[in-house]
Amino acid sequence: MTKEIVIDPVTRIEGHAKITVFLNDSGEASEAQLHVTQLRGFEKFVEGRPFHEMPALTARICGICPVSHLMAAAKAGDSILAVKIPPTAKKLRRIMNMGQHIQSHALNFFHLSSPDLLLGFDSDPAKRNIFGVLKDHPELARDGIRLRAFGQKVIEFLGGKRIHPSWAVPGGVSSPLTIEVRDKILALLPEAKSIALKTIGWYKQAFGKYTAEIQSFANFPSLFLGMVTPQGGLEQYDGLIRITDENRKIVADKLEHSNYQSFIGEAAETWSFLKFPYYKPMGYPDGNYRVGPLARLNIIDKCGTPEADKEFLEFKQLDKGAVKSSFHYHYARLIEILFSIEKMEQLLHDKDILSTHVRATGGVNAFEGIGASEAPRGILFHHYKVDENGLMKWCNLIIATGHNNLSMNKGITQVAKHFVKGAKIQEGMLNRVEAVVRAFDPCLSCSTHSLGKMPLQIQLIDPEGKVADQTVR
Amino acid sequence: MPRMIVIGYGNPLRGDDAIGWLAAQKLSEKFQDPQITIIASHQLTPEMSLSLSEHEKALFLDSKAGARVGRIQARSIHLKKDTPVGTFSHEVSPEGLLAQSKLLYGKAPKAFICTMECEDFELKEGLSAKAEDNFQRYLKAAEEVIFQK
Repeated sequence: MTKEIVIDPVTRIEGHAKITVFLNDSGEASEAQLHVTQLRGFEKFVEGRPFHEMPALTARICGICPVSHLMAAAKAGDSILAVKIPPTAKKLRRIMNMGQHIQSHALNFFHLSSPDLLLGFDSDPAKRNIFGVLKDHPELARDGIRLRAFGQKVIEFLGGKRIHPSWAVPGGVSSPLTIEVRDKILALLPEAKSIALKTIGWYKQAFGKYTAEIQSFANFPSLFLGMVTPQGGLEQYDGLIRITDENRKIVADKLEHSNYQSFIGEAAETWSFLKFPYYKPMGYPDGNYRVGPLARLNIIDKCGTPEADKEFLEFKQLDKGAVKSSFHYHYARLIEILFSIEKMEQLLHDKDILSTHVRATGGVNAFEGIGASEAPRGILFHHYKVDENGLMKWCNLIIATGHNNLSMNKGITQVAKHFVKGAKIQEGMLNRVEAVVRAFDPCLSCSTHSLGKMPLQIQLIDPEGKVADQTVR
Repeated sequence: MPRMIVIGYGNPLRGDDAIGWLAAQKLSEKFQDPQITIIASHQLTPEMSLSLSEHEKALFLDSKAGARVGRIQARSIHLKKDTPVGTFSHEVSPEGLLAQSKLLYGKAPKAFICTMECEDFELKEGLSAKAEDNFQRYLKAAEEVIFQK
């Protein structure tokens, strides 16, 4: 008899999701599925709006990663204007995007994932949350807040607003960097760097006790996809796309994001609202690829800053070829924080960073525009079509969580097979199934906090549809 | 007047969910007082605990799902020994933030929350007619809390 365990919603991820674990007659997991209630109405909602409003509008999709949408939307707008933005504007957008990476990665690591890492996957769920960390490890919790606040301040200093800055606009940015703001950010960098290095040091001595989780948390061969610099370095804002395999072998390189439809396909499954992107030449589902911090570190030859490069060399030693365990998304996230801090410092010392020429102007010179940037969770595409007045006729957004959809599903099946034993719901096993999803840091665009207050519901349903076991927390 | 922080939160693209966010915007236009810090935010986030610890009084502005649309409530928030904490990152609660402030920084401000009951949270900009009709009353209620001794 086949039974079904439903975990609804997954705790401590951005938005809502439900996990169903199917059990076979022996009480072992045979398959698991992640169901996502994604807000797809947004693409329809923006039809008829002027394209230049898109950065400010799309930045409101999410309170955690507004800058990612801001960047992709501004770049799609650049394409519609058909302009080359001033070099300083590009550097300033880069700095803001790094602030975004730092604050978002810090949120995931310190507030969502550290309870598992510090208190253990089998610890009391009533204590295994950020407040458990606050009580037992207040210094680490304070560090997390300082680091996240630093990223937020960078965004706020540049954009004038912390959560929904509309400073990046089609053609560049709306205002140049002042000496005062540059110096304010520079003054905050040493503390941020110190926290990043300290946390990486802690993680390296801590992850060794999670061997079973490292082995089973979405640890499988796949492709990895992301942007790289022309020198093969770590890229977070712009660049050509590279795809590598589990041996770090380059499968495709120097792909233009504007041609994404030629190499990325989107499959659909009846049981999820979220699409399943795949690498077209390998077909579905074989063309499964991962994006985000782990993927970015697996596709590059180097990071490109001194301290991050040292850590990258150690990171590469974790596995033969690519680092395949998604558990190490955490490690990759920390290295990216360090890289962002170092790179930000380099950019702030750039000789042209205070230039006042930060915006190119133009009219509607193209009726279609595609923008892409590396969001904290992975590459993000914004694809727009407009009429002659610049009004939106069509929009397609491919978000990082979508790119990772196949891998997350494969990952929860793997971890369920490893840890789910018997038809009785046990806290430790459920938490591990949830934790593998959290490792990917999915952002399901929590559309409203009022609607988001749902308890965690876990159900065991038999083939006749009866609830065999149920728990709510 | 003690140093005060006002945090209005909600999604401005989800109808009446924007109540707190809009109210914070309006209040920041009205009050340029250095004693009052006003934040309009999509959602509550962990680092706000640091800001809370730097103020003596706090006011949270939010919408509340319910059928009695337009019902406005202002109440104080009491920290209990076992303050329930949010398990979901996207619903950090005012109580949770205050507890975090107390735990990490040794102090939490005297806190209040002002809500308006609403039922229209569809994807759109702007408030529903019913919420709009009551918005000025909501602002007045928030101001009363701000100036309450």
